Amino acid sequence: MTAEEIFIKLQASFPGLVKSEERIKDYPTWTVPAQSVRTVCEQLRSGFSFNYLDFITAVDWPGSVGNTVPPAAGRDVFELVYLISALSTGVKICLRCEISRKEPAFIPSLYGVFMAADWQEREVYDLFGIHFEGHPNLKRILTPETQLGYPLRKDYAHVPDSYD
Amino acid sequence: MGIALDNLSKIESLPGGGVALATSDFLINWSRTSSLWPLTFGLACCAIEMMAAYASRFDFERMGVFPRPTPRQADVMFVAGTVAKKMAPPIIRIYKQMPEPKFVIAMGGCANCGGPFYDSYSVVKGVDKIIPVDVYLPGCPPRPEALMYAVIKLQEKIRKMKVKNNFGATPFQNTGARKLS
Amino acid sequence: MTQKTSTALKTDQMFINFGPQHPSTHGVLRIALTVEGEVVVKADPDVGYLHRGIEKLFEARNYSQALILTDRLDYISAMHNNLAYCLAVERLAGIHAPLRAQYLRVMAAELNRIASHLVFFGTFGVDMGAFTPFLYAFREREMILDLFEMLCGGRLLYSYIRVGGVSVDIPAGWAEMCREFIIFFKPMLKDYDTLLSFNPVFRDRTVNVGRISASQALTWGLSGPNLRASGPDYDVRKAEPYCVYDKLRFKAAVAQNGSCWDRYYCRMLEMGQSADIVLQCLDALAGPELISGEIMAKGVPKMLKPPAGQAYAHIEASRGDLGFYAVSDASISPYRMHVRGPSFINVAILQEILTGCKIADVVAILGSLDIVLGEVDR
Repeated sequence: MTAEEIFIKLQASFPGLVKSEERIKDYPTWTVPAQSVRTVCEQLRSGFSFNYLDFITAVDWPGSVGNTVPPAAGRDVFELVYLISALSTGVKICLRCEISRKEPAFIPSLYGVFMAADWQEREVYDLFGIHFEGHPNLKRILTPETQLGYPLRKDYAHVPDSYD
Repeated sequence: MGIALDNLSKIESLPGGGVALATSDFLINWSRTSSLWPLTFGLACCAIEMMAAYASRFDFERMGVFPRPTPRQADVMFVAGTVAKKMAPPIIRIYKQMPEPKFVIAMGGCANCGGPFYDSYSVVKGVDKIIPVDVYLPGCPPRPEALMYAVIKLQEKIRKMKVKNNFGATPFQNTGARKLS
Repeated sequence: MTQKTSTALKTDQMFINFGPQHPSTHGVLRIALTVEGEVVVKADPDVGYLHRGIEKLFEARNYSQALILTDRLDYISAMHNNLAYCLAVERLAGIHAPLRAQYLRVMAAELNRIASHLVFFGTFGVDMGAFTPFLYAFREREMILDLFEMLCGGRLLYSYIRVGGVSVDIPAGWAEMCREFIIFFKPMLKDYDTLLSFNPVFRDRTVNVGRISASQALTWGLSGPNLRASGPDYDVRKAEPYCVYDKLRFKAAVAQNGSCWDRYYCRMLEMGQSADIVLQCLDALAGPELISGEIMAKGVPKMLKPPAGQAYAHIEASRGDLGFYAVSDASISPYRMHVRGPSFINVAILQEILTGCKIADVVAILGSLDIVLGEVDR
């Protein structure tokens, strides 16, 4: 099945699923409402044999910076990007979700659907401060214990510590 | 043996003591420089060039440099690679576990001053912020021959150590800062 | 007074820190092991001891400066990092490298794959207690590093592959030296088989150890030889060919059992395939249509400002599926550059497969995953 056919089938069960105006170059990109990202991925895995999670990452779009860059032009959001593939057919689909930047930022976790989400979600939590609901072990993974704040946010202000 | 070394400087007051001290300096420094055993402490990219220095072409062992996995048996620590803030407490702990006399060679730009990551939020800008360093070796990464040159420079430094200055204890000991010559 | 004492053996659990400083030369990884006797009950890998904040530093550098940071990610096979980064930025900017540059890129990447697998071969032997393969591996590796030094000046970190092409063309005499090396190297693989691969002690320690099933490998997101040793035949060079891999003849090494030995032997087979690819590239570069080709695309500005957008490019690096996700806001620095590091994702499976094995097997399994901490921690 091609990505188009899968999109049409899925849109029937998830009306919030739309095609993004701005594509990740060369990959079909869909925007998913944040609360249904886990159910969409479960559907993709069980119904369409998408069994491999390539990556999960986040991008910070603070509206205060006055960004004019699509797809998040003018909005004050975190954008989460997921790339999921079906290795047998070679189809890759990119899913985008947007969540508000106001504290605390929550999104359902993919732990259990893909175990590869375990550490990648911990990394996104560590660097951006986005909480993943349902993740059993959401602790910092990369930054030191002395780290204050979330480094990869655009408004991160580094507080000098004893090693600086 | 330790008691003999501690009291060796008293020989100076005896007749002929100066000559005996100079000879014992020479012998002790010769034995220290000829068998510097480093701790295998590779952190990042410089560790691969350090491994290449131990391997076939650059064979470090002909200089007496034989890597030891435990700090308790090591004389010198090559800090090879970037020091991240999370790694700083283990480095200090391992440095303290090394017995005296101990030396540190900071290998590579990251260990000298932070290197290409000088403006990062999680990098210690040079390992000399946390432990005393004897030889700084620039490079990104330095060639294995450069690491050998750093060891040769350290050997020159060790040859200047004298018994009557109490060998120059490291600052972490209570007997005072390192003095050479 | 007598006291009844139990004669049953009372066991207790012990907590051991495996790392961050340990003799196995894998870098600063800490695994918090809870052991009962010799058997591991719980394993908790702890990373971050080499976290340098590279993804944040990308945002403070322009695109050319960011290239030198990418070398330091997977520092044993630096050409692959450069290649993945350049492919992502070229996809953003709409630049296409000329054909000669693409052959040079593939040749450099495959030579680097051989060098990286040689380091794996040497250090895996040292982990198992066999020191001799380390010296053989580094002897061959020094020859490859000589070739790289003749080519671009660097032994370990190159920045040879640039956005739009490569930085310099191969000098006179280089192709002959490279051919000599490949002709010398291919029989060495049989030597390694006799020395280590079919050594009974080595096989005892690796054949039934660390089995990862195909479904486990897929759900945990493994890639590279770790995935192919468990069954799924996924090689990015075949699935989504980049540069000129669709024109080259090679086979992806696949095994079925998913044990440490399978992962090790897949890498041995890959070295032979890479040697063949290098010969094919040398033949193509000497051919009439490419001999006077360009090595850099025309019109690539010094200060690159790709149009606003997002792009993802991934390649088959030595450690697995290495990808760069780049977001541009039309300025001279990337807005966001995320590195999909295969080693970071491969380490996560240790939580599951280390339980129930012995302490000696922990070293074998960790070694067989072939991780590099620069890529894990970024």
